[in-house]
Amino acid sequence: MKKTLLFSFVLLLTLVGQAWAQNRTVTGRVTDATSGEGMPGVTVQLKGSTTASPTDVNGSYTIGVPNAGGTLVFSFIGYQNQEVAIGNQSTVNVRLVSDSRQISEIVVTGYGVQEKREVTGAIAQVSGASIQNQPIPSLDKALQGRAAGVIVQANNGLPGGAINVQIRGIGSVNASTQPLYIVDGVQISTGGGRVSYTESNPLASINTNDIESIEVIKDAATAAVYGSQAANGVVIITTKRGKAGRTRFTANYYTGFSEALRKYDVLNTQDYYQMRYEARVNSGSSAASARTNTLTEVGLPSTATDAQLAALPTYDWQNELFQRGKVNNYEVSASGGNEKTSFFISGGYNQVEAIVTAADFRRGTLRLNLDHSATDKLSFETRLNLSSFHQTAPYVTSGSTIGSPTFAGSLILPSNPFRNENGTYYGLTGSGQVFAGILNQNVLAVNEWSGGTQRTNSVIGSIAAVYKIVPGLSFRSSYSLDYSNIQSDFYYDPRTADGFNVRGYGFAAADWNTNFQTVQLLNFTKTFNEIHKVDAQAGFEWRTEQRRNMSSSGTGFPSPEFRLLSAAANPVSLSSGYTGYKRNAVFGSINYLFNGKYSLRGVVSYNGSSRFGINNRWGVFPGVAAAWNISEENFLKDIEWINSLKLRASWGKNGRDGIDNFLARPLYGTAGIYRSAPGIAPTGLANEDLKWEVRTMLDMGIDFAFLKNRVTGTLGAFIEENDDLLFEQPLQSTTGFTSVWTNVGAMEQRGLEVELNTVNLDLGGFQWRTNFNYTYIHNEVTRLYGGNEVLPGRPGIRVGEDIGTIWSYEYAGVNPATGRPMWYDGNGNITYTLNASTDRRNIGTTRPKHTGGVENTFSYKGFDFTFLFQYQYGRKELDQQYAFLMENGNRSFNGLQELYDRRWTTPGQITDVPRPYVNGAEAQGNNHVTASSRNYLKTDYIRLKNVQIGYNLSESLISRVRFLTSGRVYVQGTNLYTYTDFPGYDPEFYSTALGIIPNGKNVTVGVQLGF
Amino acid sequence: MKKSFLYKINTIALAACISFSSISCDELIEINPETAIDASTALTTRENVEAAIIGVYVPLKGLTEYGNRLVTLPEALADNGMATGKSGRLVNEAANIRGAANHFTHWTTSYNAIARINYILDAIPTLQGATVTEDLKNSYIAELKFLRALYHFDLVRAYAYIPGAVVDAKNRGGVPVVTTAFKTPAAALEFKPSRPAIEDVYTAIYADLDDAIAKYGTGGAFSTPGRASKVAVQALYSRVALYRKDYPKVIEMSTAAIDTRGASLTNAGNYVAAWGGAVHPESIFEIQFSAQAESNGVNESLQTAFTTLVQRGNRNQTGGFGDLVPTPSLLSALGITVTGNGTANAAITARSSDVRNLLFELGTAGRGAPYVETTKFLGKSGFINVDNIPVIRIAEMYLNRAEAYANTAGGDVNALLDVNRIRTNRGLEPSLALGQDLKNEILLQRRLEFAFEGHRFFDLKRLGLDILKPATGATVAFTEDVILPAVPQADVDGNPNLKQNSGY
Repeated sequence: MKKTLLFSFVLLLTLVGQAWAQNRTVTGRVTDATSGEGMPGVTVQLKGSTTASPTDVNGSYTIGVPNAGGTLVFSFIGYQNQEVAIGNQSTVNVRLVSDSRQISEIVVTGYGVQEKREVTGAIAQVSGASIQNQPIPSLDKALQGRAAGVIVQANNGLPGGAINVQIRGIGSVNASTQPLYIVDGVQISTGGGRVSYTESNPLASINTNDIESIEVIKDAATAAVYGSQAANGVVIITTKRGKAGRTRFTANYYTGFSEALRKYDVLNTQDYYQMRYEARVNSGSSAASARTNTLTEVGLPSTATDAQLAALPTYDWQNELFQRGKVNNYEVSASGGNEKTSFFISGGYNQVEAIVTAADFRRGTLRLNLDHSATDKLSFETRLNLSSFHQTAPYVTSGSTIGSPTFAGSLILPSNPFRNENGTYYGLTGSGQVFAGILNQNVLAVNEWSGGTQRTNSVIGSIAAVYKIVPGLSFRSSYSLDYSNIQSDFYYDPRTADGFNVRGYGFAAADWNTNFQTVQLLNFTKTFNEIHKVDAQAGFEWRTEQRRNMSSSGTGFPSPEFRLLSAAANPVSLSSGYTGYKRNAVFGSINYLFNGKYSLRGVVSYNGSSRFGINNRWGVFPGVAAAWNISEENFLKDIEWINSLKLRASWGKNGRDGIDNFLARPLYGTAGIYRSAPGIAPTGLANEDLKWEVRTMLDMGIDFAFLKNRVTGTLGAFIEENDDLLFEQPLQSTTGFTSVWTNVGAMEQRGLEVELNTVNLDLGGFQWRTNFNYTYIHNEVTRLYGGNEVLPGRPGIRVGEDIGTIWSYEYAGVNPATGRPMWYDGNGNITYTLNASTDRRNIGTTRPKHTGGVENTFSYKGFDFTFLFQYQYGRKELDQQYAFLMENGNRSFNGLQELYDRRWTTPGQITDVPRPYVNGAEAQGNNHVTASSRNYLKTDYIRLKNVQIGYNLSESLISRVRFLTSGRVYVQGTNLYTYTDFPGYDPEFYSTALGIIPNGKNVTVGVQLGF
Repeated sequence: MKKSFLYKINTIALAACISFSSISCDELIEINPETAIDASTALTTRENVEAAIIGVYVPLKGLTEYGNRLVTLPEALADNGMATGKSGRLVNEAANIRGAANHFTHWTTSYNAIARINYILDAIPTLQGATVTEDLKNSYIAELKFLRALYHFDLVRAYAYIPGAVVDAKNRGGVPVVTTAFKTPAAALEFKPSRPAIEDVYTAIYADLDDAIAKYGTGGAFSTPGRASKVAVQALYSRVALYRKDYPKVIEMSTAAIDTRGASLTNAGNYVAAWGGAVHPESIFEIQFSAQAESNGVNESLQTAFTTLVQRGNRNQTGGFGDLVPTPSLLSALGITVTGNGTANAAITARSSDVRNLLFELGTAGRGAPYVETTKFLGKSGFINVDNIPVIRIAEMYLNRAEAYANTAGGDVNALLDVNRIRTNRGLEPSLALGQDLKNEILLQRRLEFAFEGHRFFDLKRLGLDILKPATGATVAFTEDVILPAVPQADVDGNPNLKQNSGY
């Protein structure tokens, strides 16, 4: 859509005012340097004259030039101009390089597109080219570090796993803060709560290489058209379309490997023995009993000698579980068409093996984008994405389950061997062998035998008919379906601890989500008297989303070879579920542009949602915006170094509706069983007045381009008030309910965003460019309810403080005399016992305050070298996996070398690690791993997110190969280097990090060919 | 101005919306949940009312209630249980470390169940139907009031001091008694109860129990210990009265219960077998688990909390964690001689004639060094980690009555009769103790009889006794803060009328 508009726009311009004063003719072809495709509509101009000619659909041109030659200037929007001296050549072939500074002059804004200079809101663009061939399964992760105001955090490194995306911070306490995703006009269902075994990210069903561009709508006025679901921002994904002309083919392949970012440096058997021995002695055991008990713990007889102890081997369990992951990606695409019909088809197969054994992701995708003009007035558009992905998942993917390979890997006692001499797994349940320690399962066996698989099939498709009623007025009627089905199963093998006593445990589930949407849209565009340009839209939208699921489980399998539920002797559970919601909107927008200088925009949307209370289902969401292209004013027009300068401001209201579907309804639901009879109970206390949360945002920005467009960028600022927060207002639990959803409280956010793109050097074909972005967001809860300064039960939520405030204890180190852990009490005095109501304080926030990225690109001839750093500052988090490892002898699992080495051992020793103590809490004292500033750790980091070295085959090389029109080879690395003090697996994690598969680092090589 | 502008937009937009569709806009967003029903009509049929009553029992199975903490904590907090740290659970509780999470936590669950009861009690008067008789309604009311008494009693005995054993300086009152159903957010948000006097709470519990007995009338016959019955009301009444030190009431209610169920008392010959069946024959009221899906799981079921064993005598197969095991003092009181308990060489070397010690044996080494563990909960409902949980057994009626007699002038003879009935049925010789010795003997028999059934901490607490914990090298005085749990901080924060217990 965008490209076509662009091409036709340029075509029009270039057809105007051609003059013919030629003496001889030069012909040639203009191709895209990246894809090798011919570029239609490129302006070929004889420098210093009015002679110009556009290229045809194949990119070929013919132009008359003086006999003496001259210089040809090739220009096309979104590409760098190129000048070629003709000399005495009669053929001039040119390859244009896309210009990422102005990658698109057309911006997708809700239900339409706008020229960039007319845009009045804050919209970040990420081009498809810049995220191409990234070895990541879902597009949300590709936004990381590339767009100001967008924070992307991964729950884990599970391929196809969930991603947390925040656009301009967090505006809500209890409602979801995930943005609205729209793929080719289809609002994608990304809500959670699906019945599945492993995480299934709905955005993983889209091949990132099919994406033409991603627009992130950040301001409220632009987003207002999406009404009650727009307050978390909107991410609009546009996929590629075909262009008229010869059919182009591309073949694309990359392959690579991944590895763990780091492993924990855990204790060897002898150090482990020493740690636990000390813990026992410190907690009052006699030396003799501490010795016998600790010897037993590491699997030795209680009479073992020191020599026997010293001879015990150490087994590195992490090493056995981590592996070198693999990634392979295969793709072919074809695009082309004629004046009436254009198409883009692609097929891809993506295969990822995680860095932990027994986790993978295999996805096949097919896409067909088809556009057809039936008559001058009537045209059709079809977008169809089919995808199927299969995930193998380990026994569990998070949490502190004993059999979890990722949880237990670093914690298992190092004295436990992997296997017996005959090759069988050591310490299996029922073998009589004792697998020592609390983590008493051989996770290698669990990982091999128990686990699950999951398949997600999805269709995202839409059809639209566009009818041009009269010039300038058209009607678009579109219908779309976003359907997905997740089938999952898992099996706990009877040879493993969780299956042994029940002779195997099996589970199978299916979950269907059907999301249907229709949009009826009236579009009006007209320019009056050549200076008054008006765009107006009016539309109607209806969306219904319904989900069903079934699951069942059973135990009692004949043997481990039988893994399907049909073989289970005892059914354990049966379940089926349903949920859904409906949404309806009418909306309108009007854009007025005066003389290319002043833009005004008004938007209003009227929305109804089934999620809200029966008394409050409908709401109005307005937005107004204005922009002033100062550079078009006479007083700036002559200043050569200013290419463009625009001031813009907008104000708008959005709603936030990320709550469960039937929360506002007074309902009786199922409430478990007792004595084989089913029970029912109220599902909660309903609030029939419940409505959306309101975000009101004032956004201001300056968009600029200076010094022949070598310095471009945006400075933006916003103030956001979130009011009528969807709030789980605490009730006295003596009412029978702990909370009721109401609209109370307010939160304010103020932010600053900078995007700066520069061409630092441009010498004789060598170019160095930098893209930089930075975001700062201040967040503050400004009001609770009933005059409360602190939210009862959640002391971190307090008026005047950040929403992520960590209200916890301040660690005071170790008493040098006794080795006991100390904290500060509410008065700043040292204490050993903590009082929750008086001793806690603000020790930081879990919300990153400063984020951004820097990308540098160097190019010379066909070579290019790009690296992207991404950074985050100001967030503290408690990594629960690390917290277990911090216990340092509390319980019988392994600890960390660095903490062991720093432990208190002798009076007078100054250290931060207390003496080991069984169960961690000394008499009349708290456990040293109690959440405090000791384990809420800074996650600040700068990460080399992406680095790529590539070579585009030169024209001369390409011309030697028949059919080949372009070629590129590259090597790429992700997460190769991280600068951080964070001691856990990965500072990027979101949520608890407990037992997760962490993010890995990754190197791929690829080749991309065009025919 | 702004409002009228928005109003206009509203009107225009609504008109546009309607013109786009032939049906009304509200219909476009009409959708109903299929997994739940409308609350306003939910309790108008007999089927739904009966399902709602089932819904009142379900919370009793929960982890904060009898499913775990109401049974494990009275052992861990007192002198019966010590923590092994095998999963790390119950360690702080057994060490009596003060902290909201280290104590009873059934406040919220209990009040939720009480709300469920109050909703049904509200709906019963208008319940109609061909099969709905006055007797049926009365039996519903009796059952619900029994359950409401149980929930309130479990709250007040945990969160407040017990009458007659009060540390005045730290007494913050009883617990709120809730008998109304909150139907709107406004009504619920306004509710800011204070803590009534402890006596008032017991009076309210008496009222519910009196009502339950009255409504049962001649009905309420005992058919299963899994549901309320008239004898269950009497048995609970006996215990409430014992806590209130209302000894005539204890004697009255214990006697009534014994008249109905006295014959179910097991003897030395069938005591162990009785603990092997799914339903304990002595149970007057118990919380029942019938399906594997109801299991509280490998981490927190009673079986996993108390033992690593899957079968008695089979030390090769490890099931749970065995987080809480008998203290040396309990083992010796039970007549078990053990060497090297908690080491690889642990062994039981001798047992007395008390048959109750046969439910204690050496666990496996599968979770670390073995300890002597109790096998009272061993997956008896047919699945591992699935056990019915006795709340009141007939043995308690004898011991309640014995204690009441012993505290009644001239009651020692009757008290001895009752306590010796327990002793002789457990393989012991009759006792001849009198006076304080007799009271001590009754308390000892309670400790042995109900070990690992959730009585010990309350028995010490209601008598104002210190907790001797030589295993952790400490004695917890009755006057210490840790005797009472924290009222949920969220409730205290949100309600100036509600006083937190001392020390939290």
